[in-house]
Amino acid sequence: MTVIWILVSAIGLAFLPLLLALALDRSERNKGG
Amino acid sequence: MNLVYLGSFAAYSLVILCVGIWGYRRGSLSSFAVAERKMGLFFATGTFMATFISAVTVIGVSGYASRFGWSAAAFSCYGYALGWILLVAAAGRLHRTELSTVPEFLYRRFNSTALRVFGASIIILMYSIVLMVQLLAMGITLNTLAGLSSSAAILIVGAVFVTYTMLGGLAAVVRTDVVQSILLGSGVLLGAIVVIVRTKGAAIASPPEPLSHFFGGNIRNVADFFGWMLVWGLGIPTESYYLHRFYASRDARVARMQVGIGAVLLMVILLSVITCGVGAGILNPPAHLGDEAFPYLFKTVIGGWVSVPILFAITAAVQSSSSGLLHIVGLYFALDIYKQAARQTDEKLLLRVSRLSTLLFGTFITLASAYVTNHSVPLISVIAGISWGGMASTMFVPLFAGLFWERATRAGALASAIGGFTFAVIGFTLRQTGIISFHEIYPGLAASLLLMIVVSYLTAGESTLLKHTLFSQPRHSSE
Repeated sequence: MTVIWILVSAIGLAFLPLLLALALDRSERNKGG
Repeated sequence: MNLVYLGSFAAYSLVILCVGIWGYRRGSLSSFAVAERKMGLFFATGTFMATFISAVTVIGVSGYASRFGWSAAAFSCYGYALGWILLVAAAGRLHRTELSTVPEFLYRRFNSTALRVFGASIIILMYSIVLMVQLLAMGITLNTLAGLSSSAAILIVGAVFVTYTMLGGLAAVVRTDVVQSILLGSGVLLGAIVVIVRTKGAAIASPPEPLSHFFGGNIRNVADFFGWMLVWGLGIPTESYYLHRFYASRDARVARMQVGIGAVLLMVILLSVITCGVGAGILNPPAHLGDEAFPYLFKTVIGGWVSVPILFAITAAVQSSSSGLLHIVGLYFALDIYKQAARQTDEKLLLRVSRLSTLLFGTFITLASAYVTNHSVPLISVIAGISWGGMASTMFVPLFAGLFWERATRAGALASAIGGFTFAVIGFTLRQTGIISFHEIYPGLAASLLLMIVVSYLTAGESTLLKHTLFSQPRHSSE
């Protein structure tokens, strides 16, 4: 169970940089528009 | 069987050398330094991933997991994720500066040549040490897998990556990195699948008692967990070989997304490496755990054809990280030290100096590693440890304060960089003598942060063009 929790949380956390990149991109585009 | 390994290794080295030389088509300083700032998302993600996964990651993390099981994830994955988040935060801003080196950012932002030269010297020193560790790890691996003597392995690997880095600079490094990241990722994933099959799923579903815990090894409690998260989380966004790729990106979106997409893929690779390590902990005899666990598992315990892609994966990990490091060392010496001392601006001359310094540093480091591998110097792993703490303590605060805090001044940045480095060295010495037990990054970073804030508030800020670019709201016409 511990290992499953580690896998899920680690992969979930790895999506945060992607979400942040998308959010910053969108905010820059909105400012630009 | 050794002939198969040696033949595969030779063919692999030749292919990578050709890709590197193929990447060397344009002989401009801009191509050597920042790949002409034309790097698209595919190449950017490939080079970011290949640079991130080093021999220390593959051999070190799997070796750690072979002893301490899944606590290797607590030790590495979460801190890495924090580092990637900070990299994304800095990517767009750093890309907008259109500079060529990280110390140049300090110079343009704070108008201080001293800070530029100091920053470059620390980076060159620390990266030379990390390069040696990479090559030593490669020597051990090829010795275990192919029976090649460690020093011969180091000399061959060194000749390959020094040649293509010197010839093509970042343009060649990026192209070889894409090939190497594919080999690396697929090799490690294949390794994890084979380990899961061989352990009948136990490596993930039911690892034996000492290997199944979240806490273990360096992570004894929640405080250790957050401590190491800070070490990696603040160390990663300080590393020039990642930041430098933001300059080379085509636009701010590519700069950010290479880390965003790379992070997800890297986490899968890391968890695969840990799976292999836990598998080694289950399958290897107790005498073959630790740093040799990964090569031993695939050479002796599992055996067969699988060990050939694994050899490729490890070689790719070493060469891609080493070429990224060496490129920074050669280029930063030419642009941040030689150019400042000789007051030269001729691009052709600077390109020649960049290539020459890449060749000289690369040759020296390769020869030194080949020598050290035969003359057991236990200090080398200890010295490698200081590299991470030293870099973060010296560079993190000046860099991030420079990027995000308008009030940061030249005196504050100088005090922060020199004070951070000094306290990291003192902390390291105290830890070696057993007076303190925590990582030197804590006193280093604390001193660096405190000095930046106090000295910046006590001194007047300078008005530089870069400061204006970073902190003035961009104006957009509405048409």
